[in-house]
Amino acid sequence: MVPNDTDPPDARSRFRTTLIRVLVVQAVAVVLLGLLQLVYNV
Amino acid sequence: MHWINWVIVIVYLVYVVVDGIRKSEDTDSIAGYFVANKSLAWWVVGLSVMATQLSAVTMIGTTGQGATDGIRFVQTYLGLPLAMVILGVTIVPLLHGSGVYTAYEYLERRFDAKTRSFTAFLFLLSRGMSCGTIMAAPAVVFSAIFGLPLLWSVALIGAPTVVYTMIGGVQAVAWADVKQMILIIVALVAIMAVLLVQLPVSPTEALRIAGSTGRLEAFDFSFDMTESYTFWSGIIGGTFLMLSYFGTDQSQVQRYLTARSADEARSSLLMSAYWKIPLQALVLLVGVGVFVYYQFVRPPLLYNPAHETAVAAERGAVYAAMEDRYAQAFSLRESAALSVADAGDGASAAAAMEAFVAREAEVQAIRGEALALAGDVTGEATGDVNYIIPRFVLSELPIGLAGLFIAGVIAAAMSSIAAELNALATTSVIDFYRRWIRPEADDAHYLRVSKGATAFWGVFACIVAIYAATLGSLIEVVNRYGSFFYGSILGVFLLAMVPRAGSRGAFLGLIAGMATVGFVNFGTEVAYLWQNVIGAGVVVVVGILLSGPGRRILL
Repeated sequence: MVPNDTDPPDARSRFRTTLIRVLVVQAVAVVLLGLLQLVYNV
Repeated sequence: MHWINWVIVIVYLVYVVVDGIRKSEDTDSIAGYFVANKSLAWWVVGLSVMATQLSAVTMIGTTGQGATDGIRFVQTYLGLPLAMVILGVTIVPLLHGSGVYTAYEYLERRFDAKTRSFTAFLFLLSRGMSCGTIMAAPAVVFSAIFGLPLLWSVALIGAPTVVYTMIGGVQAVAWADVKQMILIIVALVAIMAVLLVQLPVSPTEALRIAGSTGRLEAFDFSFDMTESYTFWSGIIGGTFLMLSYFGTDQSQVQRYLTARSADEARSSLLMSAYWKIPLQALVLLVGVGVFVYYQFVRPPLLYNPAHETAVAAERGAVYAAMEDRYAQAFSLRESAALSVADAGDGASAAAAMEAFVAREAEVQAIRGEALALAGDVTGEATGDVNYIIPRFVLSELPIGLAGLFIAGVIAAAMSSIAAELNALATTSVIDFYRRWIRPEADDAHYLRVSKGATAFWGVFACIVAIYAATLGSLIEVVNRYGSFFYGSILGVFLLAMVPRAGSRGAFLGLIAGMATVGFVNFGTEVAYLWQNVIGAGVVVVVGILLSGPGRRILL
């Protein structure tokens, strides 16, 4: 669920920035764990 | 345990209680007692949120799971970051700005009193029991490891927790959580550091050994809804589970209601969004590290020392023969593990891994026989996953560090139990006592009742913990039915955001959601994480259909 149209633009922009930041950090964590699996798991 | 370790544990217990109470200010009103007058900084709340979720089961059970099953459990948390971001823009500002003490209070404003009372009742039922089981898990392990009567173990964990929660309210809980979370992280990092130093192989070789048994399989991309942990169940089902837990469970909602502003409450949840998956990976990797360590140092055949003693006393000859076979199988496995560590890439590595896996299967077969024997002799459940890490800590870690880890396990138990007691008392007083019994009493009266309610739930949790073994089947039933509530309660809160939804639809939708999850649980093999999606979906659809026409105002 995202802020609706009545939210001020800065709230929507802040949400977008936070979402992207969290997703990037998690993508890094997932890639690292994935690498562990790819390289070492048989 | 060495006396220095006991000193560390006792100093920690005294410090956490005294400092928790000392940090409690303005707890002479229910706003101070229940939501700290909305005065806490985001990082205090953030650490409190994380400490509440991380229980002793994580410290001893999940690390043990890492040792026996690998790191795939991490997939359960894949949906958490997204859930936190969603909550940050929906439920968090809604609840924080509405001036409520409990999440369920909001449901009366949006729907009606029966929807509020019903969801609050479900919370009391499931959390009241789970609080006892959270206490029972480490207490039973401590009892077996240290040879303490169960009552003492329960008292060691329960008594200080009840004292600081009852006297200091939510502020004592939050400030104790901060210190407990720091202690937990220090203990986990320390144990990992010791493992890395003490392992006779390099970290790369250790990973190769663990990986050859499949313990480094972090992700399963199959779309099998009957499999407990897959990438998709974690991303989709996990998001719904975390939305429900952090968005509608009073034990978590109450944490961020104490934040100074909705923005700070949001930031506190984002701390979990950033750190939960790395922390959970660390917990599981500690278990994997212990598994590798035990390839080179022979672990006990039975990790539960009470079972070990009982079996040796009653079937000494059989057990001794088993131990001889175990020692031989261990030596062969150790050689095979070294071959895996030394092998490069290619055919020789594949052959070494194959030989190692076969040796590992032999060791596990003997362990299986020993566990079955322990079951015969004691008549108790034979799983000993929860004993692996405590046994490792006490026999292999240096003096002082073992005390630190045991204090960390107690800290993890206390932080979760304190939050539960706090939330149970708040819901009992706000959603039942003040709502139905004494609506017009003064603040001082509610404060007295709140402290009494905290003590009541504390004693209740201790009793459940003491009789956990006897109540086993009952607790299992409550926990199993508890899983019916989570997705369905989330569904009611989602429904609250739909303008046309009304109270009749919400109440009947909730019943329909729980009934559907009940059917799915007992009638199909669909895994737990998916049941949250199903429950929430049914409540929303049925709720909208049964609400009838008309548009209502959102609070």
